[in-house]
Amino acid sequence: MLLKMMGTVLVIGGLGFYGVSRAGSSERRVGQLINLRLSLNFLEKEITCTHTPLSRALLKTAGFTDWPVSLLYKETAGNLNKKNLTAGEAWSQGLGKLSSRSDLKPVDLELLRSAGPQLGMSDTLEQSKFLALIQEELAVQIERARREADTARRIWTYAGFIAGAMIVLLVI
Amino acid sequence: MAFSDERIIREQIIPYLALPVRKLVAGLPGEDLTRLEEIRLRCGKPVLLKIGERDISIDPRGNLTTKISEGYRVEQDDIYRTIAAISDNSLYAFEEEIRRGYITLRGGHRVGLAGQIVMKKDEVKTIKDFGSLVFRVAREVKNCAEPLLHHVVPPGRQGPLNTILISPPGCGKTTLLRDLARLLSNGNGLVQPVNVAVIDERSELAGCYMGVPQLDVGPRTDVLDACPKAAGMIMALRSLSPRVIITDEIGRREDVDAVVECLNAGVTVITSAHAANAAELQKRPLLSEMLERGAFKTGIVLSRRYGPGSVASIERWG
Repeated sequence: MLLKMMGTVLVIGGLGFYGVSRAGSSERRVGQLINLRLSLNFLEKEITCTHTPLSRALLKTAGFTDWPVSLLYKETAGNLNKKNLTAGEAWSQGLGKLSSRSDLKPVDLELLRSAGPQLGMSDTLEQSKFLALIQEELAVQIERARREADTARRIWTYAGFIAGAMIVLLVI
Repeated sequence: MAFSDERIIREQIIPYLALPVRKLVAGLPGEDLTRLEEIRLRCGKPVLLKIGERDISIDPRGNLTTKISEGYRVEQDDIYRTIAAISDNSLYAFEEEIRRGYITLRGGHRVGLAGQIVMKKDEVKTIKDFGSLVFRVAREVKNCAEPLLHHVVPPGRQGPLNTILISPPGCGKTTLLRDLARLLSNGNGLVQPVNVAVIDERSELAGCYMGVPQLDVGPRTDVLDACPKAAGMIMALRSLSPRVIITDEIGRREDVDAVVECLNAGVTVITSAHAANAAELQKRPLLSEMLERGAFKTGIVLSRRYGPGSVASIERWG
């Protein structure tokens, strides 16, 4: 009897925890998208106001930004300095690093990837325009992610526990 | 000297080239690199090198060839990667330089830019979609102006005379002016050292990189880099108290007025102008007006007869 009770608690608890953590991932994604938007705004100011060279501007942005988004900037700056890549290539590699450590979805990463080829390679006005555009698109993405996170929180939290309970009922 | 020229090109120019071109140029023998004057990258066209007096290309196997059509064809990506390397992937940080049509590298070497010009209110706003790049190697030829020194500072005279170097392009005016700045600033047995101001509108004389002269213009020389000549001459006059002002290629009305103002203030002006000879110079209304006003006492006409910087004749006015 004790064994059955322990099994029940473990199954329901385990699947419940899985559901909660999946819901948490959706919420973390919202936070990371907000962080990305703020950091792009910081980068835009570094480029348009102080004309800081790109590798230094990226490092400064990394310092201003929370982990894991800071990885994108640190990695990109490092690749620019060490590997003699173009900004687009370095940015793409930075995104690779970010994707493995963040909760961002492929659609978010695709949006960021589109920024790579233009990064640094035009005058301040053009840089400002395209960075503002990416930020606007991120704002839309944040709203979408928020709605998805609300739904996901409800679905995954309940679904985890319900799935656990169902498994227990079926097994018993 | 030759070894040093090769090293300068390997360290200060080759690293900026896109990898395919870099490999080809880096593989050139040292003696060719030593005489390298220009590298021209034009999209879709063979890479072109000016080595000494000759235009040469490099074929895709890395061999020099005088048959230009056999040379390695530069791709759009080569141009993009080269401009990205030159600008540290930060074209926005070089807006002013791009507007002027060139970027100066460390060492004073210049990269001329060509592409689609964007205009705004009758002024060049920027260049985009770069189509070709021209690397021009900055070279100092120290003491090349020494044979001219006794024309600029005749024996028995305290300071230098107002002097104009006259020649068509490519005869070494800029190199001579740079060395004159260095010699006058250093002083030697012929001349007492003097404070010199160099007004370097196109960053050719001192080859400034981030405001610091990369070429030797002497210890008593101040450089106004990328500064319009006329405004620079007046600024220098007011703030730097130079004994000599050196600037390149005068010819506009405001330049003439500024030269006259310097002369009235007792400051010597040494400059240059495009013309084949003194007679041709006098056909140019503004310069002829200046000569009539006695602005210049000495004219040194240059040619390439015995290589750049050969003196063709010396003109004395007034």
